Amino acid sequence: MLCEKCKIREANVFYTEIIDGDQKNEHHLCSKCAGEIDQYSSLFDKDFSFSKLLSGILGDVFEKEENNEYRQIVCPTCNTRYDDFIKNSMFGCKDCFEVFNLLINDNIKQIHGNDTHVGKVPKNYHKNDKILPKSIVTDSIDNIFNNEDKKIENLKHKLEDAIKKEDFAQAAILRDKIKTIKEDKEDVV
Amino acid sequence: MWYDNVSLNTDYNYISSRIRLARNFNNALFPSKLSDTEAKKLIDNTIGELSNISTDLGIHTNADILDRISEIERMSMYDRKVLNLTLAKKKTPTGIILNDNEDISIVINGDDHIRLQTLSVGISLYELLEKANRIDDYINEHFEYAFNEKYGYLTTYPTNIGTGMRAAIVLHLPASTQSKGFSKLISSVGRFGVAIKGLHGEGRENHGALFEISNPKTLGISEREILDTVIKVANQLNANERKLRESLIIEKRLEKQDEAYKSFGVLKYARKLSLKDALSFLSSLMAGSADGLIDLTNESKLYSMMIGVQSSNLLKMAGRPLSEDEIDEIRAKYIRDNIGELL
Repeated sequence: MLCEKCKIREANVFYTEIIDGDQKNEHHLCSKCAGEIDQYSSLFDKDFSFSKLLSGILGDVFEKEENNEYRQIVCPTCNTRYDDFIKNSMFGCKDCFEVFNLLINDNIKQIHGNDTHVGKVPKNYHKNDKILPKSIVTDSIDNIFNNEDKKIENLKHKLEDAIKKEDFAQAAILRDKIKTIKEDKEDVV
Repeated sequence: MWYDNVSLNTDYNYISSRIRLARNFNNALFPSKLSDTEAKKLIDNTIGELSNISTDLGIHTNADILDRISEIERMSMYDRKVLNLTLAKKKTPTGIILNDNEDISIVINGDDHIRLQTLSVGISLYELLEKANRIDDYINEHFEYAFNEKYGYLTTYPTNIGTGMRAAIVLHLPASTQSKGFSKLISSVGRFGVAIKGLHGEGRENHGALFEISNPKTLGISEREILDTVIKVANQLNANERKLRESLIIEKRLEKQDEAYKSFGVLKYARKLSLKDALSFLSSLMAGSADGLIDLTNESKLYSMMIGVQSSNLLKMAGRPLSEDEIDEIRAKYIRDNIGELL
């Protein structure tokens, strides 16, 4: 079996981890990867937690790229920062999946061996509720939004630009996003 | 309770099955982001909205708030498989809808807004999934779920996204546990896409020879495929156990019979029993009884006694704090009262 991190060397560090009280995951690393990284080496500590491992997997990717803007991304709906997500491995709301989509996709694949759902779909599910295209997600990297109002204002500017450019597909996406944020702002319990 | 009647045989070592679905509502922040006030409101709304669940689905349920349930009762609910350890110890507002024999539970605002669980004795994951789906659809008629096509059901932890489903089977594997290749077998089942854990005892120790197998992955694999895989591995573990037990019954009949009778003797007459001893003797007796080496009046109650001997249940029965010695004394008495007679 190959190391789940480098996927080059044979794995020789195996361990299982209990998550949320009742589930268990198996992990396999080579000794080099296990020893090299702080998060991984903590698996030799008693208090090693799965979230730390996941943090290791998630955090490592972007540290290397020296791309610190990624770390500043904030989910406009629940204020989960990408840093928080790396630390706790917890999504704060459904919009986190859109905001962090591109950043987490590969890592989700690493955990599940797959990145696309098959199986049950809720009966009343509307198909238009899709993951946002890349442009919107990367836009949010440039603008660190701290509240919904700023986010809406910014999206409105972008909407105007899109209409000027007659890019109506993009405009529709932006309009829906604004609508969702507005609705969520009212609906969020 | 749902586990009051567990019948095992040399070729049938399935104790129980469990399906758990994790769901979140579409219009609310996930539980970790809710303030206590918001969480309480969400719980009240949910319990209110689902107040007709008993009549609509024909299951008698009660709703409660975990804060109102004592710490000991919550730990006992953990031992009875109603809650997981995290939920039993959770301090923030959490609601629960539970039916009379506790084989159906809906935890509200746990790790996710909804944690729906169905339980049964023996191996019956397909039936449990059908039951869970019926309740899931019912909840979904009242609340829109957080879902997208790519990641499926959206959950707090990335390890639950997709189907949001955990399917688990508990097996009694006393002969396998003692066989040489068992630790190898345990580490190899991971390759088939399932996880295995011992239910009682820490680290490498295991008391009671109960093992739970479940699916670690939830994304990119359908509910049916998950069930097929878990069942396939459960069947293999059961077949392996059967083979070992069949040869033990022939080759070491007297030893095995002696072990069962001695276990019964200790359980029937001991005045003080540690949890470890109680579980080990109950396990030996369960095996002897399943193999037809000893006949008991209360054969089908042995598994429920494995839950009954847990400290949480004994503390609950006593209704007061107990020292370790007192717990061991009460444990022995509980067993004497419930073990029944030889046939």
